[in-house]
Amino acid sequence: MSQIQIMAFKSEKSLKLLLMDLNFRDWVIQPKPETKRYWKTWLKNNPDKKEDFLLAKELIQKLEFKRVEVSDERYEKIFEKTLLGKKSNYVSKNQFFIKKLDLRSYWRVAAMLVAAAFISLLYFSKQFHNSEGMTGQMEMITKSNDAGRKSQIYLPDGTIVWLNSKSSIQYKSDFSGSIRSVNLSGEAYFEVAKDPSKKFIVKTSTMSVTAIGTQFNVNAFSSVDRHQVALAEGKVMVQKTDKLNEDDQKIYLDPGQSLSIFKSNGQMIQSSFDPKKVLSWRDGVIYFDDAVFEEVVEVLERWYGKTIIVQNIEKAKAWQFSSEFNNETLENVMRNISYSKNFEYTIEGETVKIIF
Amino acid sequence: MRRELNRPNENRDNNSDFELGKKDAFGSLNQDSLNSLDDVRLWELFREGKEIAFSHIYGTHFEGLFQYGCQFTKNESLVEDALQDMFIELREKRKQTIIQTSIRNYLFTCLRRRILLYKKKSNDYTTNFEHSRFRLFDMEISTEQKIIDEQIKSDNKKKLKEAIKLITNRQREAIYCLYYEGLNYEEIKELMGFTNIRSVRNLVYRALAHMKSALSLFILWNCY
Repeated sequence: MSQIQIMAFKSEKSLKLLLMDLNFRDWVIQPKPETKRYWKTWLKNNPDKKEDFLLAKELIQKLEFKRVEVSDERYEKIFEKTLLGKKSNYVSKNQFFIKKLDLRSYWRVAAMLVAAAFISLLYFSKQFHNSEGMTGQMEMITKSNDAGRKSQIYLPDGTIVWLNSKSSIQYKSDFSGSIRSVNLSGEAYFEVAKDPSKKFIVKTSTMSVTAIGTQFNVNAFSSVDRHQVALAEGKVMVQKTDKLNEDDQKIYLDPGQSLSIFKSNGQMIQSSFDPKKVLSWRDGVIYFDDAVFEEVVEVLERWYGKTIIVQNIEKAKAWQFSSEFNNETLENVMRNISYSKNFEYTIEGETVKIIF
Repeated sequence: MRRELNRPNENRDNNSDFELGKKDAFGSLNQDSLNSLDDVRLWELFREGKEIAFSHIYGTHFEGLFQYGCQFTKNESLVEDALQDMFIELREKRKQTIIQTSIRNYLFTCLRRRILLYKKKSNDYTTNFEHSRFRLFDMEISTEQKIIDEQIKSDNKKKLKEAIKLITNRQREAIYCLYYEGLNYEEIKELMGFTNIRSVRNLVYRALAHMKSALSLFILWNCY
């Protein structure tokens, strides 16, 4: 053992000299005929350094650093963004990116907790439906939430879905076929597992959203006129579904952008969105921003799974309500709204009465 | 690993490229003819606003830049943002920018500065260059199964790992640039902000000295 160590020390210097020699390095990394000849001759002239020579060569060849996968999508995405010339949030003055990062790291933790909750949900919940039916060889799986209940679902490809109340998704049990397709009614947030070979598509009554390594929110309640896609991360392509033409207008969204489609007139609006307003439902936060009375009622009914009856509704015409409720009981929410909007209310069983 | 991108206006401007004398049979500038251009010429074309020159530069250096950038942080989207912003500014300021050594080195230098800045902005916990849990330029020496005795093998592997841990982030970065990217000492000097080449050589020499025990283990390895 000690003999070998002495040997090692002796050779250290010539080893280092070789390693520092750029010609030697170039030859190891990329041998060319003329350099090959040179080092062959060198070796002939320095037979005592043969061992160092081989070691130095092997060491350079065996150095390994972290490698990341550089997919074509990534390559093209950054190229396109560069041509568009829109710089990231690090450059622009607003500090949105900090909020975004915070939200994300918070979600890592939250996702684990919710996952645990979800597993227990599977065992104990009666309200969580899991209806599976056979169509041909593949199974279609439907997951749905009643009003008042939210859940997190893991799809077969590793994608995580946060499903809001009164919402449902439907997908093939094994995602067989060339695309991963999910039908949605209601609202869900998707954290899509990367798989460049298989597109991930969310279909609603008004649109189809194609994801490319992405996190985004889709809001498509049949009772609401405005359907919306909001992109948190990555890239999505949105197409209206009422048009049969495949070549119909494709709209690409960047992170922080949303696309709204109004069912009544088919109008589309592309704009930036407030992540607090659009994404906070997953954290159990109800967020009203200048909401009209109908919106408040609609959201509360869905969130708490109650029916709301209103007396003298005409008094609520000019309503605009803004507030945030973080995991509050219906009682607290109603009390808060009734103070600021000046009405009486009762909660009895499944029914809430509002009296102006 | 260069990839071709089909941009609509690549072959549009023929005549203005004529004096450069790099035309294919159809009289237009193409990727092959760009391959034979040196960096100064290529940069000239880019400064003149030729989009094909830009996509060529992008295609040539994207992969290397991305790999390099990802050595600084786990946050790949930060690297994406930095790359994108860098290229956008490159295009905005193309008229003012003059290349001194090579395009690659210029891009590497820009990206490095930008990533360190963005890391600071986003409170990346790997910002602290020397004392972080995440290892910048994490390095390994791959070990083949030469030793039959499992015990000796795993012992040595552990020792080898620990020996490599003694090498500082900056030293590892220099090693990366030298042996992985194939930069020369002058380029590393510029990239890492040294004042002279001697300092770079010293850094590499010290890194190799730190690897002394790694090296002798490596020798042991190969003696069996």
